[in-house]
Amino acid sequence: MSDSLLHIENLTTTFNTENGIVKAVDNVSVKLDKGKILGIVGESGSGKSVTSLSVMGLVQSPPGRISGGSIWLHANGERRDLTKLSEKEYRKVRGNDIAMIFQEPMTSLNPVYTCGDQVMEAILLHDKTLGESGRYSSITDPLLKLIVNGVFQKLLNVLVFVINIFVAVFILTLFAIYSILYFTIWLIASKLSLLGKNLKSKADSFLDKNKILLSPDSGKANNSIVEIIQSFKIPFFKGYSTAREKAAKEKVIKLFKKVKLPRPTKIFESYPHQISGGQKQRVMIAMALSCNPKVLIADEPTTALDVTVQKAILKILKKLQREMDMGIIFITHDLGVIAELADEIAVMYKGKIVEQGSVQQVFLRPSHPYTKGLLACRPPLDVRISELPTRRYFIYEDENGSLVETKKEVKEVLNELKISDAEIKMRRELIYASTPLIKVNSLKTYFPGEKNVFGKPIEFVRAVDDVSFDIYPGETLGLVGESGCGKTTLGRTLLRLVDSTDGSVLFGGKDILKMSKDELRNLRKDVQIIFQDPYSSLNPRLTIGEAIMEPMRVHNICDNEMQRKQEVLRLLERVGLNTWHFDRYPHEFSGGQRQRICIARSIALKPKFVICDESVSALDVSVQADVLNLLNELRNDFGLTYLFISHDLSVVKFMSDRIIVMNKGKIEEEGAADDIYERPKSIYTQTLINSIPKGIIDEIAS
Amino acid sequence: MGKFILKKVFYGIVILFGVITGVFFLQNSTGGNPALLVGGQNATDEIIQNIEKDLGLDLPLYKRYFLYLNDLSPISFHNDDPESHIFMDTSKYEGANMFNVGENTLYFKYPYLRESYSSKRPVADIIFSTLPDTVYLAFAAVVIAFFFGVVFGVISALKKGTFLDNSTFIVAVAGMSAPSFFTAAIASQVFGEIWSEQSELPIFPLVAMLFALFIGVAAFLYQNKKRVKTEKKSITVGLVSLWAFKGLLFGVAIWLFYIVGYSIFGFENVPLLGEVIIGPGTGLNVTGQLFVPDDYTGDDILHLENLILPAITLGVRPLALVSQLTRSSMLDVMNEDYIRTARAKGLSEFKVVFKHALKNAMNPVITAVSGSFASLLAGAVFVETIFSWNGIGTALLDAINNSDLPTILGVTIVISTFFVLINIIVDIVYGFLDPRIRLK
Repeated sequence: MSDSLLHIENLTTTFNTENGIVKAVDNVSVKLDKGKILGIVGESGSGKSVTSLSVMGLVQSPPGRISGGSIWLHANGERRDLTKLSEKEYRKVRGNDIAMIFQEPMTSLNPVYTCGDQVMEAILLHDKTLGESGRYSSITDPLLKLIVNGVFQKLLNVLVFVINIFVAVFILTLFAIYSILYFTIWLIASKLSLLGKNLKSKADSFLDKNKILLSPDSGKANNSIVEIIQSFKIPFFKGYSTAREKAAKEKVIKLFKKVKLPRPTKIFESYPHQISGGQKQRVMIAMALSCNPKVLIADEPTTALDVTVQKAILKILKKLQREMDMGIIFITHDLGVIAELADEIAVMYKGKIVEQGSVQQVFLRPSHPYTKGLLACRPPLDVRISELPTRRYFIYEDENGSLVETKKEVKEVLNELKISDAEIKMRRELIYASTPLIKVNSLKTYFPGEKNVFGKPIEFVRAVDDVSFDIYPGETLGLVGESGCGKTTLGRTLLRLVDSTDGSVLFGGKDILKMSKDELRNLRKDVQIIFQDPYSSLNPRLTIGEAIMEPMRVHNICDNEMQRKQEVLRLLERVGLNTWHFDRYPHEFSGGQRQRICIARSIALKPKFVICDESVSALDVSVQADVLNLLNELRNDFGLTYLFISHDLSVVKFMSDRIIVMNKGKIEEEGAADDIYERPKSIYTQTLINSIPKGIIDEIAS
Repeated sequence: MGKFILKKVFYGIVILFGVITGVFFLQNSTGGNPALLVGGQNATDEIIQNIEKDLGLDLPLYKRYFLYLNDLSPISFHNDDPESHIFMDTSKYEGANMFNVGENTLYFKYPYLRESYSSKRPVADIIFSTLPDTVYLAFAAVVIAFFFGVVFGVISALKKGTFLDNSTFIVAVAGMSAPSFFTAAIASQVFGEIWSEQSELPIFPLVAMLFALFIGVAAFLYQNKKRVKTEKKSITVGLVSLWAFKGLLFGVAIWLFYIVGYSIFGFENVPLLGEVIIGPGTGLNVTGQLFVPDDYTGDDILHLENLILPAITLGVRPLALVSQLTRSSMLDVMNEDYIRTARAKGLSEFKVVFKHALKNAMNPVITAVSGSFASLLAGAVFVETIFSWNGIGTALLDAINNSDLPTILGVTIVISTFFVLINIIVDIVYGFLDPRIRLK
């Protein structure tokens, strides 16, 4: 028996599947002390999310079931085993004693309720004493609300609506009379100069001021007629709210301020789709913290966010954890993130905990080969290496099928793979001696923004704004920037998947943007794209072989079906899959395998140029390393040229010879990969670099 | 928002215009001389010619078309010449003149739908005497369909794959596939005729239900006495009532088999199986209208009970549709991340389902309901005929039988207007349900 805040003891969670019972969490024991942060690391499928859901009592049953072990929660002066609680008792624990933040901020908030309402709901549910004024207020207040909101609010709002319409019509009529009057005067004055220049100029200046009726669209903010009418509008009655609700609202706004949301009162009334991903995650944090939980479970809270946003969110979490003296379980697949945050680390692999200890211990003296692999496979920022060291550098299967540990240290491996400066220089000289493969000249892609009455756009979103660069044959050009900076649009414009507004893209001397349909079809053979989401870019009803053979057939690669099949089988082996995968369907593969299939599909056409659009962003770090290594091998084997688009500067730096940093549709900075990282010129690039989580061993040691 | 509605209204007018044009030319191209219909059997050629001239049937088709549009449009040309087809006849038109255009005057008036060829009544009168009944009927049917459909849908989504889910699915398939004239006839016969005075409820299903209930209660008591608390399936009150329900359905199924056998092969009355309890009658009529004139005073008296059978008969089909749509979209929504968030907050399952999930699942259901409502407004001819309901469907059928062009056109225009209006309303309702598609 311990005094830990949360003690998970021999927890086993099983799932009933078609293939029998699967142990998603296998005999896991961890402890979380008050005021500490426990990091759980592992790749997807390692059971870390199921562990957290088991603690929350949210494992879907059936098929899931907690089949063994206990979860001790030490809260409010008593120690309880959560697995023995009834559903009703559990509900009082959820959100109140234990709160959770989820991975996907985009979909974790209900789209049909305002952010404020959703946070308020949790407070009203758990905090029973909030804002109670009198003995009977808990009955009278809701009753009053029911009557007022049920009857009076509706009647009043109808009245307000009618008054608003009358006011609008009245103002319109006034304006009509007003301007007709002055228009006549102006006509008379201009026709008959008898009245003198004085009056004419007066009328002229008046008309200048009151253009509203002549052209309603041209008016600036302060004299458009719509704005004037809107300023007279009486707002609708929002309904009576009880003293509890008022107090809850105040508390929510305080919380919003705490998680550093800009304009908290505005966001209180915004719907989730109206705010950004980072802001949504802040709302989620506010929701989780709303009832002062003792334990906070954060399940990959920053994985879907940009690095800069990630840094801010982590900072907030750390600060609030200290303030409120919570225990946090922080779940992630990224060791870099956890190094900055956690006190203790547990590494999970295939449902089991393989290593557990303090941050220093795990980072400096990793004992399990899996941990070593995780530590090493994140692209290092300070050195240039030829290949990312993955798990197989530390543990591999020999011919007999038994596992062999190499006992190498992470640093040793990194040193082995290091590329010398001379090699880099040679490669650069080789690449940049030739003529560019692609020349992009002041490319612009605008999307229509606001439209006027006739559907003609009056404002544009400048997704790609006057961008010029060259891509040399054989090089990898990295394109990095935060989400919304236009990097994906740029990639798609190059392929003519999005229509450009202006500029030219010369590919082998021909302008892609002006190609005819037939020429474009031929171009598709030479230029391929690998998309971000391997789950949705494969047709679930085509076998893998079919999916790869289809474009080959369209472009007449190989003479007959037999040869094509041979070629596909060869390709499958080349990208690290097996030949018997040919007749399988996409759902049987993991994310990393699917991305390999997508790569095989694009390589099958023997393209010259491949655009990798966030191709590894959806993958775990270790899988990502494998795919990146594969891409590099293929580049060397087939002589490919890459445009590598990603929001992750460390990945881009590992892959690329040159890097372009994009911000708000424009090129912020351009240069050799190492130069950009070591000597960033623009402030934007500097912030990007500073936001990268420093999972580097040296830093921890110092 | 205003801009959006204006645009929708404009599209609606274009659609109406297309409908009018299409129906007008189609109906005129079918041949047949309406003048013969108006004149009756004994009319001489001369009379026929006069009627033709009066109705403008001697004019070429395109001129007739424009004259019709002129009558229909709220802004129209008229003159003071009694011989002219555009004579400002105050018995037909009601409106105010605006200003002169050449020898004609521009008027602002109520749309004029002309007179029926067969009954000589103004078409507007025909429509407005039949439309309310149809609207009441359609509305009642849709309310039934929506309410029960959503309830059944939610239950079967939450209890996916169980007995309840499967039985709602069977009911839904039966409801979808049974033709409305069949269900209408059966319902009218059974509840309006056979069980009107007194109902003979079969005793067997009741006994089966009681039996199941008894076993359930006994098991429940036994479990509590022994304090057998297995991990999963403890017998609850809900489970016992489910057993009772299953017993009832089982009983009904056996009794139905028996009844079919009894009526086809005529075997002996089996004790218990064939027994009935005499219950109070439904008190419903075989046919009937919503407003029935009193025999003595002549005042219209509301007979709401006459609405029950036709509304249920009409509602069955949309009910089946709504329940299956609610089920599938609820299943989707219940897997969403925000449902997990709601649960993690510690909300009760009831609140999770009805506050967080249902509102998100409603959009496809609203589409289905509005579509059914609009098509029910067009009149359900079979059901209206079987229940002698004085609705617009019957009126349209009569008009088509008599090739009564003005009535056909008038009814079509009113129905299409309803379609357009309902579509606009539905677009606004979408915004209420889902702020993401709320229009600015």
